[in-house]
Amino acid sequence: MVQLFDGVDTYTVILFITLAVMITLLVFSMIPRRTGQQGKPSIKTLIKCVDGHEVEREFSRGDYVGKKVKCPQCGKEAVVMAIYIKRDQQPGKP
Amino acid sequence: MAGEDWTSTLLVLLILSSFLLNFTDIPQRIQLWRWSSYIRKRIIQLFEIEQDARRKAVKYLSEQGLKDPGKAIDDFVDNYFLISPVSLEPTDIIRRLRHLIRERNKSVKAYVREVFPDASEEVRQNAEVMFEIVSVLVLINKIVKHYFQLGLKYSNWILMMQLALEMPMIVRLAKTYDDAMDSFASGTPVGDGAGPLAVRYLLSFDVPEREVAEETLVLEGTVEGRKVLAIKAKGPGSSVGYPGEALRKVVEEVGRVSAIITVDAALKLESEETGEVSYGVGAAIGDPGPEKIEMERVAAEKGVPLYAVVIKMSEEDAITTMSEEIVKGVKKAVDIIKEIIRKLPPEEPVIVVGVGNTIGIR
Repeated sequence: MVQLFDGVDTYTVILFITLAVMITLLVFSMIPRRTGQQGKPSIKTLIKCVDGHEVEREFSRGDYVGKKVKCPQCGKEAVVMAIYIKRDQQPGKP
Repeated sequence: MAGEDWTSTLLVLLILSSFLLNFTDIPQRIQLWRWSSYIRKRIIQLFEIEQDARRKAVKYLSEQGLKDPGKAIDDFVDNYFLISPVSLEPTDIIRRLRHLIRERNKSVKAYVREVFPDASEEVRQNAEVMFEIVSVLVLINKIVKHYFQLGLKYSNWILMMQLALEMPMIVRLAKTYDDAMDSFASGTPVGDGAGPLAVRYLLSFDVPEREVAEETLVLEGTVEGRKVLAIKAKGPGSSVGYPGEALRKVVEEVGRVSAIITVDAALKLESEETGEVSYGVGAAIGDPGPEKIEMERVAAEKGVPLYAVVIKMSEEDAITTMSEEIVKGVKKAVDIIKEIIRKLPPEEPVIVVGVGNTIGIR
C-alpha cells in the first residue's frame, strides 16, 4: 500500500477527503437559498389633475380609484387614477 | 498490514450497507423521519401564518367597531361550505350550481350583516373577504395536517414525500393569502381588479351608471364613435358582482349589439411576465361556471362575437395590492379594446365586461 506520510496511507486520505466533501455539501444544503430579493415596496396613489398633470403620492387609507380629491400640486380638482405597489429598483440590477 | 485491514473493513462495510439499502426498509424509514421533521416545521409556519391572518382580521374588525371579532371569526370558520351539485346527471347542473352559489353568498352576507349590523356596505364586503381568507387558511392547515398524520399513521413514505415536496408551494400560497389581508384591510385595489380598472379607463369616472344586477353596474359612454355599455362590479368595496346575469339583462334591453368584449386578469405561466396582455375569443372569466356559461350562451344565442382580453399575473399578484406592472398592463388592454371597437360597425353598441374584484375601484 502507498504510504503518503509516515503511518498515513492512501485510504485514510481518501476517507478524510470524502468526509470533508460530504460535510461541506451538508452545510451548503442547510443554508437557506436567497430567492429574488426585491426592494422595499411602497403603495402609491396616482392622482390626475383637471389640468392634465399627474402626481404620485403615498397611499393614505380611504383612497380609491375614482375618488375626487384636491391636486397636491395646484389644489385644483383631481381624481385618483391608480393605486399600486411600487418596488424600489435593486441596486446594480439591469 | 494496515492497508489490507482497511480493504477488508471497506469491503465488509460495502456489503453490509448494500444489504441494508437493498433488503430492508431502513432507508425509507430514515427518509420518512427526515420528511416528517421537514413537514412538522412547515406546519408550524402555516400555523403562524394562520394566526397572523387572524390577528389582522381581528384588528381590522375591531377598528371598524365590531365588539367580539374573535368569536365572529370562529363562528364563520368551518361553516358556510358548499357541496357541489350532482354531476353524474348533468341536466340542469349550471342552474343548480348557480342556485347553490347564490344561496351560499346570501347566507354569508346575512351572517356578516347579523354580526356587523352598523357597518357600511363597503366595510361589510371587506369583512366578508377577511372571514373567507381566515377560513381558507384554517382549511389549508387542516388538509396538510390530515395528510401528515395519515402518512405517519401508516408509515406511508410516498405520501410523506409528496407532501414534503408540495410544502414550499403550500406555504407560499398561505403566505399570499396572509398578504392579501393587508390589501383588503387597507382597501387598495388587487391584481384581480384589472378588469374593472380597464372599464374605468375605457370610459371615464363621470359617465352615467346604474345597478343592473346585484352589486353589478352598467356604465354608458362613447369610445371611437361607438356607444359602449360597460359592465363591472359595484365598488369600491370588495365585490365581483354577477357579470353573466348583468350581460344577459343588458343584451336583452338593447336588442342588437356588435360585439361583447370581456377583460379579466389571467394566471400567467412561470415564463411570462406580470402585466403581459393577450387577446382572443371566448369569455374571459374565472368563475366556477354559471356566469361564464351565461356569457357564452348570450353571445351564441344572439350570434355576437365574444372577445377576450387578458392581463397576465401570478396568483400572488391577483389577490394582493395591484402592482405598477399590472396598471401598465391595464392601459395596454384598454388600447387593444379600443382597437377592437374601431373595427366594429358604428351603428350598434358594444358591450365591454370588466371581470374581477373591484375593491379599491369605484
